[in-house]
Amino acid sequence: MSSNDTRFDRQIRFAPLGEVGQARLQSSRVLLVGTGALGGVIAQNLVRSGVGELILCDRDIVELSNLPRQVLFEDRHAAEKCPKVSAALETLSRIGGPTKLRAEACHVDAENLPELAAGVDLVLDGTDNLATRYLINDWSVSEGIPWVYGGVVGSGGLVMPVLPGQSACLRCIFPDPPPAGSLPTCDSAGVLAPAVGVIASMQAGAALRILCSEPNGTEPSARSLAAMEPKLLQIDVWTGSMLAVDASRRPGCPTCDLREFDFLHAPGGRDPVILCGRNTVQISGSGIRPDLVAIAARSVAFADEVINLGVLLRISVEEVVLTLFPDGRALVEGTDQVDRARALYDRYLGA
Amino acid sequence: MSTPIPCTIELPGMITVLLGIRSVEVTASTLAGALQAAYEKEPALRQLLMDESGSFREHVLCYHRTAQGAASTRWMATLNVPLTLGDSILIMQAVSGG
Repeated sequence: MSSNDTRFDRQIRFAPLGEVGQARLQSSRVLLVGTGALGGVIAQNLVRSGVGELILCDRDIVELSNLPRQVLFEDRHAAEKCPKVSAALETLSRIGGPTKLRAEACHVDAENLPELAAGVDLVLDGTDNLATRYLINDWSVSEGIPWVYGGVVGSGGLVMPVLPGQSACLRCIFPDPPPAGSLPTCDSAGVLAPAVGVIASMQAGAALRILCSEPNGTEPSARSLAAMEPKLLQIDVWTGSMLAVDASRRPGCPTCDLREFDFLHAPGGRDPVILCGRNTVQISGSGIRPDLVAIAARSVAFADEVINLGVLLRISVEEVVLTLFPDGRALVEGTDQVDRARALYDRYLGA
Repeated sequence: MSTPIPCTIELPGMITVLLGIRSVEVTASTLAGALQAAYEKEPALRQLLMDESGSFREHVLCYHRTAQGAASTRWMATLNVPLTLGDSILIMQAVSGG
């Protein structure tokens, strides 16, 4: 028995995966967008399972408050303000095994996603914002490549594999992204490490099944020929509840039925702009008007200062000031780093 | 008009945290009636689920669960759907954290 066979013996013994499935895993290429909480658990699972190539993307740096749930990072990464992809690459490399790792420190957008995802068999969602998820969904459906949505906040979250042409895409379920600030985020509402572990593990489980299956979703083993039936799964580790609902395609879905890829073809005018000499970055919103009153009320729990002037909302947090306008546009004062500004916008203004 | 029957409206984790309840028990004969009864019982629920026009917010999903499965109200022409004994309503919402 080769060292490779020995290494993966226990998962090869799992009949629905088997030697054929393992061979497929080891010849697969996967893009993981985000290497923080969900992404860290997913990455560990995929590397330990022996996927062929894993492309890691993240725009953020490691912070002390990440450590309770972001399993790839340590104190020293936070102290050194290490880019998350660099720290992830270091930790994952120590695991060993056949997986080829590639790290890209960048914000994934419509411009670079096609290049980052070129030739992949699967995209995995470890992001912290819905805008990137709608972009991944557009790309996935346009190219016919599966992806696995996962989101976590508080004590639970959602998981849904998207198999283009076979199951619901994100817009079949949530046709349009909500306005900025309408959803709780991990930074505004908190999050528990076990919730991250469960949601990310469900994503990783779906990933293994997709990667080792026939293109039609049939498992490689003759013992079980049942095709994968994607569900939208809601899990809560605090209440111990797990609910699954059907994730069928929706006729008329703008993405997977009408093939209108609005997020992939969004005009560049929505890109962040560094305001020269002001140590400020302007972030364009989704175009949907945010509820400033509701966001102000919620922000009191985590912000150093919240000022609602009616026509704009100012939130002081993490040594920056976020100024949110009624059209969803925001100024992030206190940084000239576009990726940090985007991360803070998503973290505190949500969606 | 059919006879009102008991129906449970199950809430997702974050709404549970905000309202301090995991579900709302109502008695109604239709889906619309059950939701209206829930809003009367828990007024804060309406603002969490509905926008100013009375539609479900973009990030909110409402499923009518029956013995045959769960159907999203997003694709229903009307919420005046009769309830039968054993039906329940499941609320879910998009999750952006990660």
